[in-house]
Amino acid sequence: MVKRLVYVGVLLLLIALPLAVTSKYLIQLINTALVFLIIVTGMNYVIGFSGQISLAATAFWGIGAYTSALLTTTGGISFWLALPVAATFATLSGFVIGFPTLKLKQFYLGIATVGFGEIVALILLNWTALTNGADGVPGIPKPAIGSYVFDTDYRFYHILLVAAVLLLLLSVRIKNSRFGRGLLAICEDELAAEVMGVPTHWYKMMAFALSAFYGGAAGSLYGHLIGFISPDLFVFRQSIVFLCMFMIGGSGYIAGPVIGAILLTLLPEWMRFLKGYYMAIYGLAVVVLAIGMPTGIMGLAERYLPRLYPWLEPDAEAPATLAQGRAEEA
Amino acid sequence: MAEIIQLTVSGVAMGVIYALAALSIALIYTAGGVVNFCQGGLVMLGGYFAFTVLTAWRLPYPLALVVMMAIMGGIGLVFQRLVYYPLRYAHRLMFIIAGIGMSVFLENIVQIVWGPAPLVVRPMLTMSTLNIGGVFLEPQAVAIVVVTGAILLFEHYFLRHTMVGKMTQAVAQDKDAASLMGINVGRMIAITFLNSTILAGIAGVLIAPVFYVSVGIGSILLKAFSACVVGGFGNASGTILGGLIVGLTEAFGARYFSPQYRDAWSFVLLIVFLLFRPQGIFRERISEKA
Repeated sequence: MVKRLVYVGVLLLLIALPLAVTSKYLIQLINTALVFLIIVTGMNYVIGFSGQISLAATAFWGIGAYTSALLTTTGGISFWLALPVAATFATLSGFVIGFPTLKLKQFYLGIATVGFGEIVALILLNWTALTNGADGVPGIPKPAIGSYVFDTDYRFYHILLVAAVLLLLLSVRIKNSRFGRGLLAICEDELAAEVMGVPTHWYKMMAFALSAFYGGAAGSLYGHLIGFISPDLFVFRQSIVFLCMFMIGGSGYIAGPVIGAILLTLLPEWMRFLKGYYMAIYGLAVVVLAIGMPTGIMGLAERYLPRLYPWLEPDAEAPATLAQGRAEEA
Repeated sequence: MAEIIQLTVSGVAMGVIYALAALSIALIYTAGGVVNFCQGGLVMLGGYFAFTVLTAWRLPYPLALVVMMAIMGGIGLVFQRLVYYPLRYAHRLMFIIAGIGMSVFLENIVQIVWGPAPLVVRPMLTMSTLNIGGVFLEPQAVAIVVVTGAILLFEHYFLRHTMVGKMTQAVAQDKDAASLMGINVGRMIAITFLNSTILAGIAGVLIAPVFYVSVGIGSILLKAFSACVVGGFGNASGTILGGLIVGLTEAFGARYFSPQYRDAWSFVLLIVFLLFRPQGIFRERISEKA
């Protein structure tokens, strides 16, 4: 009960946040962090809960962004319709990739998603008639309700906040459901899960489709936030940035993606002196985290800050994560 | 007709390079039971070392190859010790994630060490294009096929007819049984990583004169994966056939359909095989391993 009140209080503070942020640049960063938070939360279903490896986050993000941008610019459709259409389209493409690969051993999905990312990048760049090629899509309209247009970063913040909170709540609900526990079981031991009656192929597909949905929605929001998208945003490298956010925050925790996305969006701004080195450091960080700290910041909090942990993690009683160890077999 | 022969030769030349990279993935997969997503990065690293030994140090080709193989072998051992070894009992997801991170690290480190501009490496044979009855052959393509053929023969000899090779195969088939037979499993896996990294390095050396040396070489990973899936994951002879199929599909697809989507063909093959024959042309030799 107290926890609920605290969450409501935090939410009210977040709603009022633009009043406190005077720097236009900072609010831009916060908005970007919210978009990334949605994407990384989506990755949690696949990597964190079900223990499969997917590198398609950037591809879904790009599909969502382009679908929504093209529908609203050349198609003349309203943002409010384009957003669900973009998310649905990304979800469908997730099914196409997930269906053949999720029946197989874990790593096949990883392989197929590497290819999928490259194909999406190739299409965005080369299918000039549809995507406008390397020039990108300019002039993506801002959403509006009646005469209220979300045309500044301060106004857009509230759309992103609502989307992020709703999608996070969905993630809490799902983790706690029969479906969510099924995914955790798959991660621990797929064969055992299957024997216990978990429809493993179907559940893995659902998890992957959900992550595609999150990516597509985030893409649509991002396009309308920035107003201009081009293929060079949606390259494979970006998937590594998302993976790094995911690993740093903590795989399998609800709060992990939140912490990771916010940290790694704000942090590079404070570490500008690293300049050309930061992708190398992201790569190395992913290796070091996988080896030394597979549960990320939330894993450390769970172990070393038992008092604080229940306040950070909305669902602190549930088993958090899977990738904790155990020599299993395929 | 001449065009078809030319396309076949260039397809085969690229195909055998994919086959080398695919074989290096398959060796680690059978021995360690893990898929190394860093193998593309290692091929790229081989290309950069080829630039160092051939262009910067100006060594003659045979000596340069030996030096490069020694360097890559050392890197393979270090990689095995620092990344595979700590994760050998962890959830398999973690080695895949570490491999991805490592490849990004390598891609960015080489740009810092060697600079971001693409580098030129001299081809193995410095003669002009051969003209055999109207068919134009690139000498480098011929050299690639010959060198790879020799290496594959050597690998076959090593794995089937030497004691160490047989021991690594035993580990690939059953770690516990191999261990009971007195085989040092950890050392055999280390040797497999060494072997595999050298193969990746050679793929890098061979590909270096064809394209410029740049981080883009790392994208060979996807083609090597496709070759593995087409041939049957973990099946050595299958991956070689798979590499050839991927190389030929790419050469003919780029010529008769669209050059922009050249890199898309390996993916199309990959998806088609995953849909209709996920076990590959040859089945995995060692099916479900414990």
